[in-house]
Amino acid sequence: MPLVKRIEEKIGKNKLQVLLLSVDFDYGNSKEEAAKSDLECMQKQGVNWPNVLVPGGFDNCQRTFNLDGYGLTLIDPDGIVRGVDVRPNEVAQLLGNLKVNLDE
Amino acid sequence: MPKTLSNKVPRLTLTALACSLLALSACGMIKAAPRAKVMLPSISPPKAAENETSVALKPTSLQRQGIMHFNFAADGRPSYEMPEAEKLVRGDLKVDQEQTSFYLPQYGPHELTTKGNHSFENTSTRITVDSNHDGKLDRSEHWWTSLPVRLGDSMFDVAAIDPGSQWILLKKSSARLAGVVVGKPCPEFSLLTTNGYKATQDTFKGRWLLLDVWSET
Repeated sequence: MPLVKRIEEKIGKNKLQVLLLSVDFDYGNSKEEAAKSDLECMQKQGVNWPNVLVPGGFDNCQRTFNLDGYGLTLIDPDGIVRGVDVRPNEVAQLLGNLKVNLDE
Repeated sequence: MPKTLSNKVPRLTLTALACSLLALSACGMIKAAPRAKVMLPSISPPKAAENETSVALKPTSLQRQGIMHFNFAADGRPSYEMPEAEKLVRGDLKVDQEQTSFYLPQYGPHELTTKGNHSFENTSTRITVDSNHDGKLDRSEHWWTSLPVRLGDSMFDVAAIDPGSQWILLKKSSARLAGVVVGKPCPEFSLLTTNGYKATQDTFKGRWLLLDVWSET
């Protein structure tokens, strides 16, 4: 999460939105418990990104996005997927490769 | 999230377990149980129904990383199988005007259903679709045959696979388009945030969006 926060700071909150997909829910804990512990963690990290408690956790992430583990997916402003399973330190490089002018 | 070892082990825990097992192996405390690689006899493909397509599979020089399997003996001793590079067969199919290539293990048996309860326990055959046509088989391009598989911009169910890996029978699936594929639109989603807002792909249009799959635990 700190690395993703750094990406956001570098690129700018008005240009990049982070959507958290939490897989904490549906593994034996209640929605309320998962929401509470997620919120505490996010507050500790100093982030207020929208967070989704994905019902079914990884199973749902796999069915919808074919994502079977933790990781980042980059989607451009037109809704086109530009990177899957990218590491935080690769996001800026990926944007550079896509010749995105982030200073505009 | 995960509370028990049997069915809720996060990837990091599995990695730690794998490292521990490798260390024990190096000390000679446990031994790998090699999996036999036997080419099973081929059978004739069934007649494809109207919404089905039979695709010939051919050997390819491309390989992919195998999956590490863990076993626990009755006395609790762990054993594992090293993930050797898998030899593959390739299928080619034109879907929605787009030529797609996909890859399956050369050696059966092929399983179309999973014995696991969760995605990270899936035991069905892995199918890898070279979605971005770069000739590389990335982890994000892996699918499971127990679930609908995306080829081009359509979803398919795997109806049957020849035990001898000579053909695969695909059936058009009624499942909605799924999977994030580089260069393609993000599949539709509608998710409720903890603040009570509905997040869809349209919510974020006009800005770069970073989907971050995470866990507090």
